[in-house]
Amino acid sequence: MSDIFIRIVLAQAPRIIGFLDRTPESETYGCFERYYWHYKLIDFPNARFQEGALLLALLFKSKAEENLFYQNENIHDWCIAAIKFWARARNRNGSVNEVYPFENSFCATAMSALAISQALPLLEKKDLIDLRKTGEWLAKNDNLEVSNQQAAAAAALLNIYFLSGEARFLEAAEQKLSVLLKCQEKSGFFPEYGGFDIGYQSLTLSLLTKYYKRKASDTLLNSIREGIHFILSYLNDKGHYDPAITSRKTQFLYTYAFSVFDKNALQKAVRGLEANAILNPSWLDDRYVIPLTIDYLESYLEEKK
Amino acid sequence: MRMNTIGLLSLRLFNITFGRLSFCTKILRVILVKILIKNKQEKYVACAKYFDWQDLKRKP
Repeated sequence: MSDIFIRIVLAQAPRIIGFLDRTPESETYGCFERYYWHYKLIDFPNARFQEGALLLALLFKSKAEENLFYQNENIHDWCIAAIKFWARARNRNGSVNEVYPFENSFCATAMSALAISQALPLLEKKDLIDLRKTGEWLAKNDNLEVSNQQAAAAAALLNIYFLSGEARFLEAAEQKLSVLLKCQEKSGFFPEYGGFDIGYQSLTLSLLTKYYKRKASDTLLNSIREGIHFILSYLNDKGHYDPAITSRKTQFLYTYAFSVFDKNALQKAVRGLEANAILNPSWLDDRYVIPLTIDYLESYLEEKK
Repeated sequence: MRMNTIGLLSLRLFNITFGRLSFCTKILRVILVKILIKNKQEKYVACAKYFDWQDLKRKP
């Protein structure tokens, strides 16, 4: 069942590695934003591209047939460079920017900090950069209208707690998680700008699954299961749903939560991918291909266990 | 030479003022080609620096 995921991931990996400045002598060595380091069309790098560091770390660690990136020293070095570039690109307060300089983007800070904090232990480089400033910023800020970002912030804070050993980050993570779970509607969806959105719901559940994997609780488990149940009520047999009726009109489907908790839902997504009936990373533009490719790789690794 | 905020603002200001005149925009193009391509040791090519499987080999 998981072959489709690794096939898609390995097809996208060369594309994503192509985004990266791989010249060690370059000032922007480790930057994944081609519009900044190569085309020179913009005046700052979008920090979300640095989530590619997690893809490199997972490829480096994943022993899979045809994974030519496994244990490759260059992949390791590029991953380190990408993490260091992310750390340098941060604002003084620890946040990062996605759309304009000094934006202090909650979304980009939460998502990229989660990816970086997950990549560090995979490379056994826990002390490579200091994430505490970013953790402090995430702890102080929220975006309750957008559940997926809250889930990412909670998971990032939890990772920062495990990296730093400082209990204040665990408290902040638990606080964020508790507020988010209270926002879940009785029908099982997490609000995205006031309504439900299947694509973002699947992303939120993937992020909450990451949290659960590191700190399990019955409350979180029930919440994830209710969330998956909600998605299933909209998916057809090929994992397709009508985005027109959702709040954000997203078309993607993150599958990591399905791979851990619901094989029926995963099977639907697999059928859709095999029939080329649902959106996959190759259909996405550069801006969004990285996180979905990571999710597929994590789905594959979970399935392989 | 990377783009910076002052450079970007200056370029846009030029684009929407003098740059509306085709003569001026042609001059800008000539200058950019000279700076980015002709005078560079490593010439700028937009469709370059993608991944190549050879990149995985360790360089000495």
